[in-house]
Amino acid sequence: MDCREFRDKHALYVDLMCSALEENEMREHARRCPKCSRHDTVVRRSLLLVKNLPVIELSPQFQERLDARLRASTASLVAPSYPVRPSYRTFAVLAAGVAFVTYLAADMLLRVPTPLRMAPVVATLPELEPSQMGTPTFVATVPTGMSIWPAIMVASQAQMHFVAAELANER
Amino acid sequence: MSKLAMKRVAAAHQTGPSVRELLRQADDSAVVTAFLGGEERAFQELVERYQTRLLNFIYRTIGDRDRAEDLVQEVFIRVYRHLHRFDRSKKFSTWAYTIASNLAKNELRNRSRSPLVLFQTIQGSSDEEDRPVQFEDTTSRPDDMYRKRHLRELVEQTVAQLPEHHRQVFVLRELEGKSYEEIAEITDCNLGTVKSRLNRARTAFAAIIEPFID
Repeated sequence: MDCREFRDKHALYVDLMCSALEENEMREHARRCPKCSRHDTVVRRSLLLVKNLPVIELSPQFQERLDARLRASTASLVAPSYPVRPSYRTFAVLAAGVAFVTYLAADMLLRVPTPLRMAPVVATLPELEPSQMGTPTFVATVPTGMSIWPAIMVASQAQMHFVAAELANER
Repeated sequence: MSKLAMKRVAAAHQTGPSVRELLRQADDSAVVTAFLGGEERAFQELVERYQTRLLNFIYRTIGDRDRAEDLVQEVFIRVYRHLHRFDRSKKFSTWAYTIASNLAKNELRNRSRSPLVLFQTIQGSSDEEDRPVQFEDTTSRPDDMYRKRHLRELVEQTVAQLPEHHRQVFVLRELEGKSYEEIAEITDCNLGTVKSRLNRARTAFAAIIEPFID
């Protein structure tokens, strides 16, 4: 047995709760190790001091105070509980609340579902812009080598021209 | 055993004066049974059996005598209210100490939130000098008496210095003489924790006291 084990089991050793084998080992270790032997002696002597501490006595009024507290405690336990009687105003408010909730519920249940009607959509056709492709300026730019800008312009306006063409067909 | 005691108490109830005597001779379980059977005097018997023990336990745990008395009263009020819920297969003393331990723990927790109350504890009880000093005897010399009184105060202070968890286990074992199993139940710890805390508490206590005991 080493010192650490001795210290760990010391409480059980002092309280005679070790097995016979352990107790022998503890005793043998204490005999060989002055440090642990000293620890054992100091703990035992200090515990004797604790066991001899004076007993604290109750104050003379203890019983009287306890009786008073017990009486108060039991009185609160057996105190009759009066039923709550609502006033006319409370009753009226409650009745109105119940009637309102009933009305809402009945309204929701009795309401007949109607088919969904969408509002008519009013739309106007935008004025068609005149095509730029047929103008003399456009035609003049092509042979001068400025073919990129007209191409971009044609691409950006292509959608409008398709729509315009379709609308013209419908008319 | 309890039923027999109940019958005796009931029989004595008719004759009157010896009920208290019978209750005094009965064990805790029989007294509890008598109280639950309607014998109010049984509760007084429980109070007389445990009031001083619980006061000492709570006082050593919280270090304030007046508050300790209040808490002992609180223990008995709870016992009175909830005795019908007590599991009678267990020891009454363990149950009462468990209530006391929980109240003491709550008290310490509340104090840690209120530094003012903590200061009161450090100051100690005002009637310290009025209490009988049982370490002393009349045949001792004055210097011996002084030394013993000083030693007693030192022991009390050292117990109070132990950490809360260690102190509770220490007090239950060394001052109340509880078994390890009872301490485990009262403090709601496992047995290993009780052994470890007790070992540490004893070592710490001895280390502080050592210079004064040679």
